Amino acid sequence: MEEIVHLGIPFLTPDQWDVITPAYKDFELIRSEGPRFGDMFKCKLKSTKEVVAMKILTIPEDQKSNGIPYSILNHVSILKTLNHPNILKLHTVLRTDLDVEDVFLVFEYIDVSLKKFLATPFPIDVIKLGKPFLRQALSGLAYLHVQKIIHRNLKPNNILLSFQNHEISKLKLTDFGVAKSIEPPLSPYSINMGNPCYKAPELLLGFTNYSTAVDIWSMGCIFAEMIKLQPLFIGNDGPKILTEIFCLLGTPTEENWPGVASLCSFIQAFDPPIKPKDLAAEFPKLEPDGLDLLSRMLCLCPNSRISAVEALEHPYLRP
Amino acid sequence: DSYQMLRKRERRQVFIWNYAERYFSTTKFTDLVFQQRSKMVHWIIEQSYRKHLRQETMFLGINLLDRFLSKGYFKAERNLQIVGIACLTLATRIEENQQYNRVGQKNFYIEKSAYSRCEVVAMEWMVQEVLEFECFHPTIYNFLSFYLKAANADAVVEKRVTC
Repeated sequence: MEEIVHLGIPFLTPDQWDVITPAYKDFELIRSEGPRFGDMFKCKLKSTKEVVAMKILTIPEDQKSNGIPYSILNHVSILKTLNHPNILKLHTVLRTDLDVEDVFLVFEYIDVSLKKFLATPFPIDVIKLGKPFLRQALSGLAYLHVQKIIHRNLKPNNILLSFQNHEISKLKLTDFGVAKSIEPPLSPYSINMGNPCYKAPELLLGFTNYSTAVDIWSMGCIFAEMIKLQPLFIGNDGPKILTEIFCLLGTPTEENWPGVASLCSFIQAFDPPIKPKDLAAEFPKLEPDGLDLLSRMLCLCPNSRISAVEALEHPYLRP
Repeated sequence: DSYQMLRKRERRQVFIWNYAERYFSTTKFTDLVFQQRSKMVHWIIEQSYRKHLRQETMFLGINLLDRFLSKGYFKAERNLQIVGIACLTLATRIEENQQYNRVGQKNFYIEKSAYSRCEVVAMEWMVQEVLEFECFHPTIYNFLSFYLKAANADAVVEKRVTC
C-alpha cells in the first residue's frame, strides 16, 4: 500500500552493535523519534530469517547509577504479561553488558502505522475499512481492560496495520510506555501523559481517579479521525482541546455527568451551557449505527461511556 | 470479577512454595541461603518501617526475593545480601511515587558489611533477567482488601491491618 521512507542504516555505537549483530542482520531504520523515545528499526533474525522490529531505549548517563528506570520496568513488565492477536508481541529483551546503557526490545514487525496510512493521498473507504478496524482495535482494548491495564497513550502513531488485498489483515496496538496496571487498593494516577488531542475530558479536567474509559475516548477520537481524515480535536494544550470538545459535544451538566460541578467549579461559568452539535451533520459519511457507537464512545461522562466489551456487541460492529 | 482476575494472575507467576525443601535435597548451600533469606526479609521489613514505605513495597520486595531464589541462588553471602537490597530498591521504584524513583543512597549497610550503589544496580539487572521482567505481581497485600470486605471488617480493624 505504502512505501516506507527508508532512512538507511541506523547509527549505533560499537557497544550496541556488539549486542545485536550476533543474532540479527539487515538493519534498516524505520522511525527516529529522538533520543528520548528511542529509534525503531527493522532487522532480520539470522537463525529464522524472520523480520522483526527493534526499539532501543537508552538510559541517560546521569540516571545509570540510579538503577533500572521505572519506565523500563513498567513498559517491559506490562508487555510481558500480554498475549493477544491485536497487541504487538514482544519477542525478546536484550541489553548491553556490564555498564548497562541500552535496552533493546525486539517486537514482531508490522509495516504501517495508522498515522502514516492516514497521510497517504488515497482516500480511505471508511464504510469498508472502518468496521474491521474498530472491531480489531476494540478487541485488543477489551483484552487489555479485562487484564486491568490502561493504555493511556492511544493515538494513530501507536496503532500498526498490515494489509492484504486492500483489507486490514492485522491490527496491533503498540507502545505501552505509559500504560498502567490498576490494582486494588487504588491510588490516584498521574494525568500528565499522552497527546492532549486524544485525552479524555476527565483527564483534561484533572481527575486522578480515571479508569479504562479514557482509552475508549481516545479510540473514539481516532475513529472520528479516520472518517474526517484529520484529527477530531486540534490544539497543543489541554485548555484548547477542552474548549474544542465542549464546542462539539456541549458542556457537561449535572444531568449528563453527575458530580462534575462539584469536582470542577468553572463548568458553571458556561451560562447558558453550550449545546451539543449534531454529530450526523459533522460526519455525513457515517451510517446511523456508526454514529450511535461514535457518540457513545465520545460520551463526556466516563461512567456512562461505552466499554470495549459493550462496544464489540454494538449493532454497528456485528458481522 | 476483579478478584478472579487477580487470582488468575497470581497463579500464573507463583513461585515454588516448597523451594526450601527442594534446596535441602539438592545442594549443600541450603543453610546459607535460608539464613540469608530470613536475614534479608528482616532487613526489608525494617527498612520499610524506617523509611515509611508503603506496605505494598514491602510485600513486593519479599515476593521478588522469593521468586528469584526459587529460580537460582548464589554461593556467597555477599551476593545473597545484594539480591535482597536489589529486590527492595526495585519494589520501591515500582510501588512508590516519584521522589523514590531512584536508588537514592550511595551505600547500603547490613550489619557490618557495606554495599555500593553500582553493585546494587548491577544486581537489579540480574534480578530482572532471572525474573524475565515480570515484576508486577499481585502480592498478599492486594488480596487483603478483598478479604477485609468479605469478612465485613469495620474501619478499626481495617486501619489496624493496613497501616
